[in-house]
Amino acid sequence: MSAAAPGAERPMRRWRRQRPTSLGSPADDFLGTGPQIEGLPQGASGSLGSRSRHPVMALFDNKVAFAGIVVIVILALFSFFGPDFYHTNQTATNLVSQNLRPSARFPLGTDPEGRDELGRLMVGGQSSLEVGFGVAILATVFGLAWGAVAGYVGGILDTVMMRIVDAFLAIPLLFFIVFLASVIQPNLLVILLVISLGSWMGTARLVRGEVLSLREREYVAASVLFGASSRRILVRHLVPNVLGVVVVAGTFCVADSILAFSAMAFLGLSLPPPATSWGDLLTVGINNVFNGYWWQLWPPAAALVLVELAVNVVGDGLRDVTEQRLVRR
Amino acid sequence: MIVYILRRLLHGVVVVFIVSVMVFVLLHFLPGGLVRAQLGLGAKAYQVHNLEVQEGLLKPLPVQYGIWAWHALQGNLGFSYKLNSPVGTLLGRYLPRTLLLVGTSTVMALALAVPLGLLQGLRRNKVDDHLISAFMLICYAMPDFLLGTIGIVLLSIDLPAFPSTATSFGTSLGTDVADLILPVGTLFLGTVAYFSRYMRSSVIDNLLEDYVRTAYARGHSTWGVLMRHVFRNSLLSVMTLIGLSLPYVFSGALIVETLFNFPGIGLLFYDSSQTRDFPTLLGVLLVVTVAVVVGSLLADVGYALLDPRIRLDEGAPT
Repeated sequence: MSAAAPGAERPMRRWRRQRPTSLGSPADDFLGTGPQIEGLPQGASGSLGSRSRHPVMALFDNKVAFAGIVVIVILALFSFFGPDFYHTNQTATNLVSQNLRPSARFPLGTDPEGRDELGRLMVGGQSSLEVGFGVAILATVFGLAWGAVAGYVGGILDTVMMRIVDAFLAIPLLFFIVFLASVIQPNLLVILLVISLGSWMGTARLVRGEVLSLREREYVAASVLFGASSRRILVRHLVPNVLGVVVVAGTFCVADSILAFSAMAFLGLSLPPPATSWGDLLTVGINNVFNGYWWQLWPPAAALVLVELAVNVVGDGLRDVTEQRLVRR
Repeated sequence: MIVYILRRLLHGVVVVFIVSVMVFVLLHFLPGGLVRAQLGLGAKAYQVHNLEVQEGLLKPLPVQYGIWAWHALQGNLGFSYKLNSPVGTLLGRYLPRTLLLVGTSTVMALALAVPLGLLQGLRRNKVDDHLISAFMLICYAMPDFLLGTIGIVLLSIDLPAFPSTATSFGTSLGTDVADLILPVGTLFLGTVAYFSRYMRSSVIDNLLEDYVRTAYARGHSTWGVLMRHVFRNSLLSVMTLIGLSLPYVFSGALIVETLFNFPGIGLLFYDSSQTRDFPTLLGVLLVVTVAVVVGSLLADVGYALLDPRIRLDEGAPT
């Protein structure tokens, strides 16, 4: 116990401290809600290999990811419920109050049409968040279905379906969007569909790969033996097992589609006014950057960067949690 | 190895074929088609009819596709009625500049991201690792046009060092370099954030592998193990990332070229979308797709050359 002492002793201590939790109430173990032991590094409870906490709870243990969730909730509350408390006129233009600096009356100044910038930020947040989460849901559901069918059926169908995925992947997203938007008039639904159409491939590929390996497992063979239909095997056995990966990909998809939506706004393909988005506001700010109207540039920039950071951080946290069994660090 | 390359080549051809069919069909089914865009809304019915006959638009769609594809294979991508020039000529002028932009920033991003990721992987969870990660995450979280705007605010308004537009690109070498700095820098920051995150986790994964421990146990020096085992294996996974990142880099180029008025195919594409210049849109879309497919093909072949597992047993990652 001389040279190896520090390294060898630590796991023992962990184990001793760990012990009482597993002796806690059975409900704790079942729900994975047992008390956290202080001083234990993240994931240490899982290293014993017996029971790990429920993934959602484990996510809350990750301080950075938790902060990300808080930021997303705050931004959503700000955008969707802010207008109930902070009343502004977002439809009429007011040429008397164009491009005003921040003041007591306009906390964040006004935009080139004389609308209150803080109020605009709330309205813009609504569409940005709607697009982000809407696209993530649409693209994830579609990609999940596509990948699951391709992976499960296999053969020629798989080849054809995956080449179609490759084709969509080969067209750079923004080129695709600009092309489509040059022929269709954008509204919220069109934007949702267009961005989704360019975002489902990653999930499809992931799911297909997972299903390819999962369908060789014994429990699938057992289901086949019991006479389960293909649909039942897919829906009851394969899809639930890929959900972890899919949720992680979906989270990053939220971030990517908010970015794509803002890039569309920058390219002039956006919701018709007076509707707006953080991307639109940022674009206005960029167009006025040489006039020095900083209050039109930095607030939407901060909102966009904040939501992007938050979603990415949550995605990283989710990935760590779902890969817990693989990750030894 | 040859079989592998041939198979990848076939994949590439199939992908380009699917994309071209998709684009072609979209172009002909979407409202306000080719003829109206060309003649304007006030065109008489006989004018529309004449142009449709002239352009072969009354033939069945598969025949039209065949004719278009046959011409495209010969390098004839149609004629831009807005810019009054063959699309091929336009691409010949604009594509090299975009490739320069994309190529320079990708190579620079790799040159920084690889050592940076290695450093971060080695100093995992230390202060410097967290600082670099945080900076990269912020770059990653920013839209490209915001990064570029910050560049403009800092380096061309507050401190007037570089021009904020690259309109005059292609006139003389001296101004060209100055024109390139902000656009390349913007794309570079966006790409390096993407690469280094990946390199870091790849290095961390490799450091935990058994062969690294074995190499240490055999008494190899730290540096030797890092170079021979960790670095080379991490580089391999970054290799695949280059191919995957190409579509994003081209998307970034579209934004950056629009922001800085850099005359590449991104700007050409954007302008064509504004003027509904369909032959140009179609041509650029096709060429960009081919560029992406060829790029990922090269990355995959490079990967196969570097990785003996693929070189020897013909097993291909899909």
